[in-house]
Amino acid sequence: MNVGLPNISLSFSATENSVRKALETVCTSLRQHDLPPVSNGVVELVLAEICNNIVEHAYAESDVGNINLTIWSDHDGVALEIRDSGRPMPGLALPEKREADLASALADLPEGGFGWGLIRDLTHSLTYERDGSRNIVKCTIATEQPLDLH
Amino acid sequence: MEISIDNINGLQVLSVIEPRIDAAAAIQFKDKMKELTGQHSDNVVLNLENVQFIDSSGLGAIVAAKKHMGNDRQLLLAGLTPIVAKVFSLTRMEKVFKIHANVSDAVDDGDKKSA
Repeated sequence: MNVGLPNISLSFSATENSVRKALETVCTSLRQHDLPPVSNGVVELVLAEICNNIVEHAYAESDVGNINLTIWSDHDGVALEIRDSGRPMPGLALPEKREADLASALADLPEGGFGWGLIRDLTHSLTYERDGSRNIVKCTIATEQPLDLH
Repeated sequence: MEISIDNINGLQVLSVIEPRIDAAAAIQFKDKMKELTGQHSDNVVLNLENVQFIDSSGLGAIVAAKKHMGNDRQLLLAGLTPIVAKVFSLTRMEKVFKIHANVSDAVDDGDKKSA
């Protein structure tokens, strides 16, 4: 049962360690509300993937900026809005899920490129907008997300 | 990156003590695995029962560890917690690894002299 999450708003620098700390803060806040535990893990995973993407791609190495995160609940689930002031998405669009060829030889197995597929699998209403000099990614995670391991 | 080392039935059992293999820890994990598995040619069980969270960076580092070990050795995974299992399942990488509920089952599997 969703007891209604007040806004969680965080701003933190786009580094791997800051992202980790921010996720910890988010998880602590989420645990104080009666969301099922598996949904907290899903929220954390989606946020990790979106934020890691900003750290690695949106900001050039010499120019660390901020990530602004807002989380709230609506009738569809837990809504996320993530903003950064880094470079725009190539083609101003979110990457599609990459279907890896898992039958390939060991040496050819992918070590990356899984992120956007995970985000797409775990969210709905995923959007990207370029607003002036900012990137805005929004998505919603359904709180009834069942833990079915297909 | 804290990993404890054990040897059971000729397999090296590596238990990750860190609760997260995420972007902040992935490179250290990859390097540590390379170091620990590179010292011998036995099969390895990677015990993840303490790991509560991995992201795609963590997954990539585990794949890298398997690749580093090569085709003639096995990297078996044990004790996947819910979010870790979910990451392997959604990316379909669970098909690439032998995954067991616990170290004991993984050791039994890896003990067999099969390719």
